[in-house]
Amino acid sequence: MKQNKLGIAGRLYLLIAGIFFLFPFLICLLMAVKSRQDRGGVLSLPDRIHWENFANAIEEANIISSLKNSIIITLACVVIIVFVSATAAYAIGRQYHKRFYRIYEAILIASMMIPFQAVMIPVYKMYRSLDLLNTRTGAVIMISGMAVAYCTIMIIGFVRRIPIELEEAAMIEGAGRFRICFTIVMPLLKPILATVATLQFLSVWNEFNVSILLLQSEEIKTIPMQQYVFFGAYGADYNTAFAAAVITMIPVIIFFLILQRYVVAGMTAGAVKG
Amino acid sequence: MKKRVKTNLEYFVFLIPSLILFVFCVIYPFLSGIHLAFTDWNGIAPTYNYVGLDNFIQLFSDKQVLEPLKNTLIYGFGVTIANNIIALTLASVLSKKFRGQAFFKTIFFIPLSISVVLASFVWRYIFANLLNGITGQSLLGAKSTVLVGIIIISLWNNLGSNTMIYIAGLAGIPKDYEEAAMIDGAGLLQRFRYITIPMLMPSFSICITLTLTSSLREFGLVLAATGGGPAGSSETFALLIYNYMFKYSRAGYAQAVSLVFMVVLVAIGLLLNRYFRNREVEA
Repeated sequence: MKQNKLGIAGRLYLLIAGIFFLFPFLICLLMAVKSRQDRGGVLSLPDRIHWENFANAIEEANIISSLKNSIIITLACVVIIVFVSATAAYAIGRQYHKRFYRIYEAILIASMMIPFQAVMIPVYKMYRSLDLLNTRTGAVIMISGMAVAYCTIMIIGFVRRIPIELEEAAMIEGAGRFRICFTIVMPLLKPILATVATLQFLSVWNEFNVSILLLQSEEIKTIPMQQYVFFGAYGADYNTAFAAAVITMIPVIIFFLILQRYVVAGMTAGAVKG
Repeated sequence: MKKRVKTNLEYFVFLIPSLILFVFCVIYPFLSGIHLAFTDWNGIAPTYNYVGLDNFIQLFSDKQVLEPLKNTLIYGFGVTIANNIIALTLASVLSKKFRGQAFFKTIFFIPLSISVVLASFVWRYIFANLLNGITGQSLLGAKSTVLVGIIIISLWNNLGSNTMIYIAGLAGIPKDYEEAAMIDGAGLLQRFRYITIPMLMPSFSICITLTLTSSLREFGLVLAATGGGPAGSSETFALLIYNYMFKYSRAGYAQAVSLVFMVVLVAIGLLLNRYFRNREVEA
């Protein structure tokens, strides 16, 4: 097969693209281990590895506190999003012949086109009157609420592909609707639920729009919020800032590498006619 | 009959968590926000006055929205065109067989896990301290080049997802189509034009629609990279709405702008969707 081999032009293209994608990571690593006094230019190697940058970063960038907030908010959101989307998708998928459920599905799809800015001001107003501004609970509710439409739509098709006979058989055996849903349907949905969970983990971990609106006080800031402030304020002390960048990048990159196949599965769903 | 009512009720129970969350986070704010667009609310005061259509009338004569409008269009279409061309070409290269294929794919996908804040921080540094040798000054520092700079950051951060989709799309094209065309003497370009492009329509539909609608509403990346500067030359519509709310205390006007913005985005999304639907072929 001649056309399946990679030619020289293709290799060159990959190389250039590869450099473009990898380069920022190399800069991060390099800058993170150099001393502030290093005058050797951006690309020079450090005189020795300055581990103290990392210690400084952990302290100055409030990494421990923001890491805690990020972990709590992300885990809570992922659990809520998966639970709420899966149960809703089950109801819609099994009642697909009913107008009410179809209308709800259509509303979910339509809502994905609404830019966050169109609800930003009313959300802020509502949160202030409910005293939910600057609370983890408030952020978790809103971030989850913004994600359920997309996730529910992703799952519905998979529910519909599970043969109803499985449920009817269980019904005859005397199992109730809840037991059927959680012991028969949910386990069969595991692959798509894992995909949804992985994608949502990444997206909540990096969440910006809702967080900047609702999480403004210091002690409840997530990592992106903390860094938004930190990178703005400590512009001059680049080495500490890069050390902070590296510390927060590593866990999420490892997470990504381990669960890459779920990310690919999620993002490519619907790309090929099934 | 009794059993049917019970079954219906049982299914409805599964929908309740979703209904509560969705109504609270999306439906209620959206509906309750509409009337704010007809007020002069400043975002802080407990009261406000209704001003009729003033906000909308003002919007269409407001010279201040022209620059963000221009920026949003340049950025949105710039990102969409560049992202899709690069993602498609990368995907076709990555679909060939060679050693290190998995490694290269991973390299292109990793930036997807990086937040806009981190991505802008690193690239701000690269533009200011490394590429300034080539470009004179940081791309983000000059009015004429700042959008190019932000587009580059966006490409680095997001190219992976479209590349993934095109790889999957290309893998879904049956090999015998290409072989048959080759036997008939079709060249590389002809095969691309008459086989690859029509067969990739579902992928184009997703990638182009998603990239365009998401980049037209870009907020976080612009805020983190430049804050809209220098001198408003990278302010996008989404950022303008945010600024009207929090900087200029004109929440009523901001809400009016956001509703018009939404209508335009929805219209673009629907048009693109219809365009691609009509061009999809049955495999």
